[in-house]
Amino acid sequence: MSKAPPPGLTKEDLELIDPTDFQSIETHIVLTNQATKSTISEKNAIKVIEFLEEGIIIEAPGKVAARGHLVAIQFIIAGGGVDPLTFESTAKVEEAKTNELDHCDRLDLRFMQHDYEKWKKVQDLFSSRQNQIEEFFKAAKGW
Amino acid sequence: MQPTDKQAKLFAKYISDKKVLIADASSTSRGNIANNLVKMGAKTSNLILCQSYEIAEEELKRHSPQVVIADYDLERRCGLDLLQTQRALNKDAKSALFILVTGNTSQSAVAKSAEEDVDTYIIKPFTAEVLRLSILKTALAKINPPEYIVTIEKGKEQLEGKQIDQAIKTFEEAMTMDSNPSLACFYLGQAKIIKKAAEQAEGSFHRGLQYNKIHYKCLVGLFDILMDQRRHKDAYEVIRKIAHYFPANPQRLTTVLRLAIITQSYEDVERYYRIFTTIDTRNEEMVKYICAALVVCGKYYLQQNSQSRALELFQKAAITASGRTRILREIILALVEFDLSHKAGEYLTRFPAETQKSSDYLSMDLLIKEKVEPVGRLIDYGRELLKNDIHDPVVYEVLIRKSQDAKLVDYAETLVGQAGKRWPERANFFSGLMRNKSATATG
Repeated sequence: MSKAPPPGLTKEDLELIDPTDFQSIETHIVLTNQATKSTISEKNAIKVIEFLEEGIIIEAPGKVAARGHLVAIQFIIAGGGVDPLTFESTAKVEEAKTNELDHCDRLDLRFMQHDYEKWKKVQDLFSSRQNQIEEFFKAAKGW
Repeated sequence: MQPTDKQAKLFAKYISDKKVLIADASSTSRGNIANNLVKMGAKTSNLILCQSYEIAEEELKRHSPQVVIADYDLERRCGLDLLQTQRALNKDAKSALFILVTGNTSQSAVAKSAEEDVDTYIIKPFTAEVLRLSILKTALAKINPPEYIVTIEKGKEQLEGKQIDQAIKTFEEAMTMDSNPSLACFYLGQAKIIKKAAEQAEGSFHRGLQYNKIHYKCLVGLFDILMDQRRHKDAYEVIRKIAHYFPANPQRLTTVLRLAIITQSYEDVERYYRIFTTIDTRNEEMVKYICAALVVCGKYYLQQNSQSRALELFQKAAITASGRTRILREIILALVEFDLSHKAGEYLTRFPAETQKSSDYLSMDLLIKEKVEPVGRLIDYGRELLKNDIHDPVVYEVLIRKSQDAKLVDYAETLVGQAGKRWPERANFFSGLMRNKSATATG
């Protein structure tokens, strides 16, 4: 489906890169500790730092989970030019490190049961955005 | 794609003696990036971890690290701003690296970073592989740049050394070294500008844009030349493109607006207003420009008999003006000019209380009342204003008109003389008020 170019731009201009295709990816994480039943659901309370092969590294408010605990994790992803995506999984806390100064925990989570295809979709979304950014950088800077 | 052993060794050698500053509000992120760098060859003792912009800036000044890895969003500040500090401290920019590792995936952040020539932009969450490969590739491009870049750098040095003709030859040579030599075209254009060959410079920038439609430097170079030559229509086309692909620079909005008005591209003004409403940091100049643009646009639509559209724009201008009396005055003047005095009253109520004794307020009040109040009362009011030193051209204008309506011709002529002395550039206008009335009376 072709998009009408904004005023002052031609279709050719949009062929290379249309910045309106680049939407921010908004990620909301909900985490529930299955042992303590405590839940963190506030927006931006949990930050995803790194994708692991079958898991993630997150930063969460302090003392939410300890090593060995099982947690239920839900990713709600909007933007990125795709339909909203929800990914859910049970995960085991492989590592938990507390930063006393920041009152937050680094948690390394390994998924126990998850929809592999959906997880791949999540990873592909970020990977695709990274590629778009690299293309844009190359075009804008010229090398 | 994995780096080769050779590449990995080359990077390890590069990073081993480099001070690296990592600025990120998240301790997990700082630690994670640091661990990855150590695995790639960085020394722990060379890593400076900073949790806030302020600490990062202090440490930058203390250690002058050649490698900075920052989050775009550092609480209330933008990590990108650290780049200027790094550049000021590191004269040898060729081997310095500035990398953003951030959860901010917005195009405005990406475009702003590209404008500022950030080395690379990595989004979170990343995989360790992507993080390491991206940092490695970026560093290797600096350590071992391609011949194309080496040649451009040589040309830049020649430019700085005022060896312009040699620089031109060097940039032309660089253009043969890459399939997409927009950067070489840009610098060639810069060299031509120094030689005062504006047409050739323009040609170079256009050529660069043929290779790459959104090459930022070529776009800006072209825009600057067109503005210098006052080719506003062409300049407007270019700045529109820049604003579309690189939307984050608020200052650019002011320029775009100015050109939109100069080139009478009124349809675009509303789009820029929408962009303006999304900008967090707005300075006085920007607010002034957007309000003025909305008012000019509104006037245009009144001329086109699109009253409702005009009124919509005036509303937006008034809201954005937040009590700035000059803008409200201009709206009232436009409405009265087009026989919409009954609408003008609403804008008078928007004057903040503390400005209701000001010249702007009182003169507009008189102007609005001109359509409804009896002549005698208007003249008394106008005289009172003059007595209280409210010497506004509109007060004189109304009084001159109304005095003639009341057959006080001598008084009207006195006012014309006084107004002409105060505002000599408008003397003819005030005289014209007399002549018009005289013509009407005798006609």
